[in-house]
Amino acid sequence: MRRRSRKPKITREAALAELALMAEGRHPECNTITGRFIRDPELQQASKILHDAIQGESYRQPRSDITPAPPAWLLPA
Amino acid sequence: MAQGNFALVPRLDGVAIEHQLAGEDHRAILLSQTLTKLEIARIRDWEGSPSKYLLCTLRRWIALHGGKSVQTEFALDATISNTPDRYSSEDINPARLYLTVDPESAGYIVIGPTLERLKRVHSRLPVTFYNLVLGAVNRCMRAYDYRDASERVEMWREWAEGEGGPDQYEIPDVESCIPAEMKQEPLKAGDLRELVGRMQNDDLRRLIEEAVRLDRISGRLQRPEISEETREAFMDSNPPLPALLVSFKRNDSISGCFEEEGQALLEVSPEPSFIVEIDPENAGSVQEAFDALAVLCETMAATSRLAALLPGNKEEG
Repeated sequence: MRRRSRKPKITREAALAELALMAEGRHPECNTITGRFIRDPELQQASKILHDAIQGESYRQPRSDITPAPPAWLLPA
Repeated sequence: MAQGNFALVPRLDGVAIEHQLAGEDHRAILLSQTLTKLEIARIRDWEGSPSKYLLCTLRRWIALHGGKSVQTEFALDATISNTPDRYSSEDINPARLYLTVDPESAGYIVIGPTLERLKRVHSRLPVTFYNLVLGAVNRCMRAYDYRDASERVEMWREWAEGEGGPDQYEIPDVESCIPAEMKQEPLKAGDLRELVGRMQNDDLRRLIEEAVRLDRISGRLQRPEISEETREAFMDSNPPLPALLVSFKRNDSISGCFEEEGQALLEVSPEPSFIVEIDPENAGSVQEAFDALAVLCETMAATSRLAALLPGNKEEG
C-alpha cells in the first residue's frame, strides 16, 4: 500500500502572499534578530561602530589594565 | 553605562549567543514571485525558501526541455547567480541576476566516418552536414573544431618564428586531418531538400533530417543582448570553455590541439559559455531568459541524439 503524502497543499495565492511578505520584509522570518540585522543598514553600521570601538580600546590599553568586570558583566573578547 | 577607563558590555542573559540565518537575496524573492506569476515555477515546489524554489524550478525546466538526453553527451552546469562571473563574488549590479550555463567537461564527436559515407551520396553533402551541426551547437555553446585547432597552430607557428623557426618544434599538422570535401561549398537549403528526397539510404537520410531539425531548434534561440557593464566584467577573461570537441578521427591532431589548449583554459577565468541577464521583477526579461535556456537545452539534447546516430562515433581506437 502506498503512503499518502502528508505535505499540505499550498495554493498559488498563498505562496505569492508569502513571497510578498518576504519582499516587503514583513514575513515572520524577517523579524528574527538576524533577519532584522540583515535588512537594517543602521543596525549593521551601529554594530560596526561598537565593534571598532571595542577593538580600538583593546589595542590602546594593555589587557592587564582593564578593570576586572563585576559579576553579571561580560568583557569584550 | 561604563565608567572610567575600561569598556564593559552588558551580559545578554537569556539571549542565544549565536544566531544563524541563511539570508535570502531580495532578487531571489522577486524572481520567485515572477516565475510563479508566469507559471514557470510549480507551486508544489514551494517550501518557504525562495532559493530552494528557484533551484527546483531550474531543474524542472531543464528536465522538461530534454535534460536527460543532454546528459548522455554533455556535462553542463546551469546557475542563477547574483554575479555573472562564477569565479568572482563581485556583485556588479544589485538589481540583476544572471543565468549562466557552462560545461564541466566537453562532449566528443568523431565525425569523419559520417562524412565519408555522406561523400558517396554527394560531394557537397559532408560540408553541408558539418555546417548544420556545428552552426547549431555554436549558437548556444562553444564547440571546438578544426578551425580552433588551425588558429592555435597558426599562433604556435608565429611564436616559433621568433624562437628559432617552426622546424625546431613539433607543431601538429591540422591541415592534413581536414577532409578535402570540407573545402567545398555547402548545398543550399532547396538543393539539400531535393537531395534528401531522392536518397536511398534510410540511415543517412535520417542523419540529414536530424541535422536539419537540430539547426531549426537552435535557430529559435533569441539570446538577449548583454549590457556593457557585464561585458566589461569579462574584458580580461579567456574565451568560453568548449562544450563539444569535434574531430574527424579519434585522437587526431585536432583533439591533440584541444588537449594542449585545455592545459591553459583555466589559467585565466573564462567567459561564461551562455549568459542571460535577468531583471527579476520584469516578467518579459524572466520569460526571455527561461525561453533561451529551453532552446539551449533542446539544442544540446538534439545534438546528443544525433551523436548517438553517427556511424563510428562511439567506436574505440
